[in-house]
Order: sequence, then structure tokens, then C-alpha cells
Amino acid sequence: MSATGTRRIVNIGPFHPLLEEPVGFALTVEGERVVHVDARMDYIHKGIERLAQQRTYDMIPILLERICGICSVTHSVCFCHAVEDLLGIEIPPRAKYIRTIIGELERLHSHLLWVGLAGHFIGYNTVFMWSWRYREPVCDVFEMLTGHRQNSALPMVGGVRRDIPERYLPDARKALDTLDGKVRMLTDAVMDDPVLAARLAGVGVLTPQQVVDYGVVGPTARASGVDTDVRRDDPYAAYDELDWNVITRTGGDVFQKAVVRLLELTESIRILRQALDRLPAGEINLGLQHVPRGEGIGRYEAPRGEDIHYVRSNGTNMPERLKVRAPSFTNIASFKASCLGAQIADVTITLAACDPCYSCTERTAVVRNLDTGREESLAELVERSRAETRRLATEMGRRPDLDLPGE
Amino acid sequence: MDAGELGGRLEAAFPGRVRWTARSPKRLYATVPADALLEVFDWCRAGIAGFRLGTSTVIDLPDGVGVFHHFAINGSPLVATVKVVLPRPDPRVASLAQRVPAADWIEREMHDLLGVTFEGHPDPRRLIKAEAYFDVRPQSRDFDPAAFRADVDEELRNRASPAEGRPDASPTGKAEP
Amino acid sequence: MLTAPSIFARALRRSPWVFHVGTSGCNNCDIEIADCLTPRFDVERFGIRLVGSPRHADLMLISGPVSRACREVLQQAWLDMPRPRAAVCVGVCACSMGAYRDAYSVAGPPDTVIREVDPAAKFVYVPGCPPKPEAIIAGIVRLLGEL
Repeated sequence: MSATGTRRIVNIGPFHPLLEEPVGFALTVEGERVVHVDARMDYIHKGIERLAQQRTYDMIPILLERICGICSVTHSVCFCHAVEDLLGIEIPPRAKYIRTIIGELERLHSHLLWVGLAGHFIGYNTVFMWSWRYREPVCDVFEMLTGHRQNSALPMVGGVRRDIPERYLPDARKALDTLDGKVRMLTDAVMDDPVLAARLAGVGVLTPQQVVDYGVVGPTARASGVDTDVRRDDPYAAYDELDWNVITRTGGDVFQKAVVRLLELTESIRILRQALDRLPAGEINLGLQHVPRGEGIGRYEAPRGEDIHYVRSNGTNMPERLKVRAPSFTNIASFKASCLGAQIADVTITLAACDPCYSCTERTAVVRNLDTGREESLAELVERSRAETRRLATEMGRRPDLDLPGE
Repeated sequence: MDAGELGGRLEAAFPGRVRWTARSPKRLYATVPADALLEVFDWCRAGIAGFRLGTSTVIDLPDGVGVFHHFAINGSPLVATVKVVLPRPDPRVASLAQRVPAADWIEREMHDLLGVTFEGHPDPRRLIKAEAYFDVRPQSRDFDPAAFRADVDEELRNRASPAEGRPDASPTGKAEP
Repeated sequence: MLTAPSIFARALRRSPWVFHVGTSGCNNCDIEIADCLTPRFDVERFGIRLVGSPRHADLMLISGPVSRACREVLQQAWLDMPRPRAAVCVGVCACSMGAYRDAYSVAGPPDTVIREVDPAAKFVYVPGCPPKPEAIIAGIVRLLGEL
């Protein structure tokens, strides 16, 4: 609510429209520090669980792709996991590899999107443009292999709905090879930049105990040294047959959260190369089965962390109950721990570091300032964040951005 | 530790109060009386490294309102679901949010969906329901979304929007940014 | 056909300023809209600019089915746009609610919601889930061509 009492949609400004959803987080600030945080979640609630309970098991993965724009493979596959858990079945090998491939492509484009967003928040505009530019080939590969840039409708209970066309695998490999070099360059540039290290070190820290108490998952947890990753802990698809590492760092600040995601990009490419090379022949689906009475739990390592679905069947062709818990629902709440006492200039980047999935949860920060009584929109908070970066960079005699060679 | 092992240990620690099933080595489902929930949670949390709340499901069952807490253990495939079934019309149970912040939002959501009261919750405000339908219980078996839509559509059509009566923007041109 | 003083119609054709409203969608359309700004599509070279307030906008880009909580906020934003004004409904949710057709928490597609306060409002529809950036740009250009 603005001072005049009218609600308004807050826009990040002329750069990009990602953050224009109505009020999510409300912060209260005293001096330069956050003293209270509140969240509002009703603007985007769409009642998806209730909708899913009126859809058949075959329709639901397609519905669930639309919970969140970035996590479409995540939710559709996690649901399949829950039902496959209930059924006690294992999907065919080729289907496992296909799910691995589309899952890691999703992780790639999600992390690149995040890197760009984080860059935008702190004023590293080259990083934003650059990472979103290199996100495009990932979407291209997704489209080549599945027919759509974002929502493939591939996952279904028992496997996948369609095969991926092998004639595009050479193009996919080529795109990954190019991306690999770019990602390593970006990672090195980030890790070598003293301004970034100074700007983000010690910001938005979550201790390991807070990670467990808040139930935080994903890169946000792993940056605090908490070793948790569903792909390894509760393996699915082809992950237990491939050679890859869970990335953890210690310190738990925003810088480490960024590093985890960057290193995971390289791991994703590694996983993808193996999966493309070792794609086995064979059937892709067990055929949709009758789902008897029972219950099942599916988990999936989304780009943002553990996704959990609980499904309960009453023996009909529609679930009696579907519960979906996206990782952001849990992670966002940890904002209270990482943001209380934070500098107002660090609020936007701290929030972004939980990698909120904007329709899994909401966020936009409007601030109540106990000293001035003035509110600050998200655009203003972002500007404060950028100003802090510029201030540090000036102090250090450096440019507040990365030098990333384009083409 | 697998599901069977944890089930056995729970049963030993709370004799006569736990009914459990291991549907697979990594999926445990245990039903406990509502008044044992907090004790069981404390016991698990004290004794199991990496024990955390994953999420919770609220469900309208024939014999009451089910609250299922799904616990995960970092580094382990095991998910342990602890269930309580609460009597209607006023389902209530101890809040886990008074123990861990991981339960905060999910208990508020469950309250929104089926009206469960979580006793001891530090901040029991509505979370996901907008004002337009805060009396409704969306996960109730009796809830008919189509009929609800029709009702609320009717109400919204008849209610003046705050946008009405407010002067429309000037037709003479756009303001300079 | 929108009626507008011809000077404004010419100005619009040159450099439309666009306000983006995401109303409780899954964000996929919002991301594809944002993609339009990135180097491959680079809509800014056509003079299309995203602005921070409806008061500065010629066109509104709307995504998502409109949740009940968003309904009045969207109506307010529309009324804040000076005329001449029009909207591009991006994605099937903004066209006809898409997957959320039966959802209890959704008020209705943007055109229905906005016509409650402005029956003469004009819309262009870009279906897709999400539509590709090329389609979104084509939708905007189509609307501009009709001015």
C-alpha cells in the first residue's frame, strides 16, 4: 500500500519486468537495518492442488508443469515419482535418462536466469545480459529435444510420453560444449572479482543450524555446508549411474550461494554429456497403470532444492489428495533469519539468494521506515543495492561489473 | 537407518501409541495420537542427525481431519510421515512451529485449507487465502469449486470496485517518466 | 480500430512504451517477455521500452489468469494508463485462463476483469504456454499496426 492508500503494482524499473508481482514481502526498517519482515502470499495462490484432485493421473503432469515457469520438469516429474512410489515401480532405463536430460537442462537455464537476476540486483548489468544471452541456447536445445522451449509435456507416470529425436543430439552436444566454456569463464570472473567478494561476503548468512531449523534446501542450504541433495540422497532417474558431485561450500553468505549455483552449472553440463552419450535403447514408458488405493511420496532436486509431492489414491483415476511443496516455500521463509538485522541495501540480493521461484512463492519488498515513515518500492531498494555496489567499487578503484567478452 | 528400523524404535519409545507401516525401506508412515505429536517430534529431533520437517499435508478424511507431517533426514533417502487424525468440527493439535520455524508457514497454510488450529503457533494469521474467499475451506470434501466460482463471481459483479468512481487517467497524453 | 489524435498514433507507432503486469501466472510468460529484452530479440532497438508505471505507458502487457486478490490492482493499473491505451494478453492464461479455468482463486481473464471498469478496452491476444518471444513481439507489432 502506498501512502495514499491505493495498492499499486511495483515494477522493478525499465530493465526487465520479472519482479512485477504485487506485494510479497513487507519489511520494516529502522535506520539502515531491517527490524521486521512479513510476507503475503495470497496474490498468486491458484488452488493447483484442488485442481489436480479433479484431473486424471495422466493429465496432472501437464497441469503441474504450469505451477512455475522455471520448474516445469521439476513438478511434473516429482508427481510421477510420488505415484511411482505408491505403485512401487521403476521406469525403463531410457526414460530415466530422458528425465535426467530434461531435468538438467532445466537446472542450467534456471541457474543462468538466477545469475542474471542477481547481477541485475547488484548492478552488474553485463552479467544479466550475458547470462540471459547464454540461457537462450539451453532453451533451444530443450526445444530441439522436446518440441517446446519451456513445457515439454514429456513426463508421465511410468516414464516419458515421447522419445527425444536422436538426430538433434550432435547439436545438443555442440551447444553444451560452447556453454561449458562460457560458464567456466563466468565462474572464474565471479570468483576472482574483489568487488563481488566484498559486496556479498557476510551478507544474508544462514548458519547450518538455521538451515535445518527452517528446513532450507538446495543451493541455499549447500552454501552453508549442509550436505543435502535429493539426486544423491534419494536417487532417481539416472543419477546413481553417472559420475557427478554435490556442490557444497561453507560460510552460507550470498557469495557462497552464487558460487554453488555457478559450480552446479558445470556439474549439470557434465551430467548432461554423460547422459547424452550413454542414452540406452529401449522402451520409454511402462504404460499408465491403474493406481490402487495407497499413498506415495515423491522427491526431486529442483534447481532451488528439494521438491516434495505427497499423493493419496482412493483407487479411482483421480487422486484423493495431492500435496505439493516447492522448495521456495521453505526457503523463502528463511528470509526472516537471513534478513533480520540486514542492511537495507542488502535486502534484494539476500532475497534473491534464496532463489525464489516467483510463482511457487511471492516476493517483492515494500518497506516501512520507522524513522521517515516513507515507503520504498522494490525499484528503489534495487537502486540502493546498486548504489552500495558502486560505492564499494569506487573505494576499491574498480569498475562495478564484470568484463565478459561477448561475441 | 531405514523405515522399518525407525518404525521399530518409535514403537519402543512410545509403547502402545504408535501404529506404523514401512511401505518401502525409505517410506515410513506412523500414526500417533494427537497429544503425543510434540513428544514424538522432540524425540526424533533429539535423536536423529539432520532431521528436518519437509512439509505437511492436511486432508479431509472420512473419520476426521488428517494432519500428516513429512519429515526428511539430510543425507538419507528416508521420509518419515507422522500422522494425526483430528476430530471435527474443531480440529486442533499442538503446533510444531513453536519448536522449529520450518513449521510456521505450512501450519498457517493448513489452517487456511481446512481450519485446523495449531495450538501454540506464534503467528496464526491466514497465509494463502485472499479476502475474497477466506471463509472457504478449499480442501474440504464438501467444497465445490464450480459453485464457489459462480457465487463469488456474482458477488464481485455486484460489488463496486474501488477502481470505480475514481477519475480515469487523462486522455490528453502520457505523463513524462 | 482505436481512435486517437493522429499525432499520438504516429508517436505510438514509433516508440511504444509498455507496462508489464504479471497477475498470478506461473511466470513463464513473464520470463519470455523479459527475454524480448535480451540480445537475441532486443526489442529496444524497435523503440519498445518497458516502463515502471502505467502512467507512462501506451500499452499494457498482461500475463497470467487474474487471481481474485489481483483483480482490483489490475483494474487500477488500467485506469492509471492514459489514453490511447490497449493491452496485449500474453499467454493462454491471459487469453482464457488456461490451466486455471476451474480454479477457485481466479477471478477471470484480464479482458473480462478490465472490461468491468472500461467496456471499450482493446486487446490483442497472443496464445501459447508460453508463447515464444517472437510471437509476443508479433502481437505487439500487430497492435501497433492497427492504430
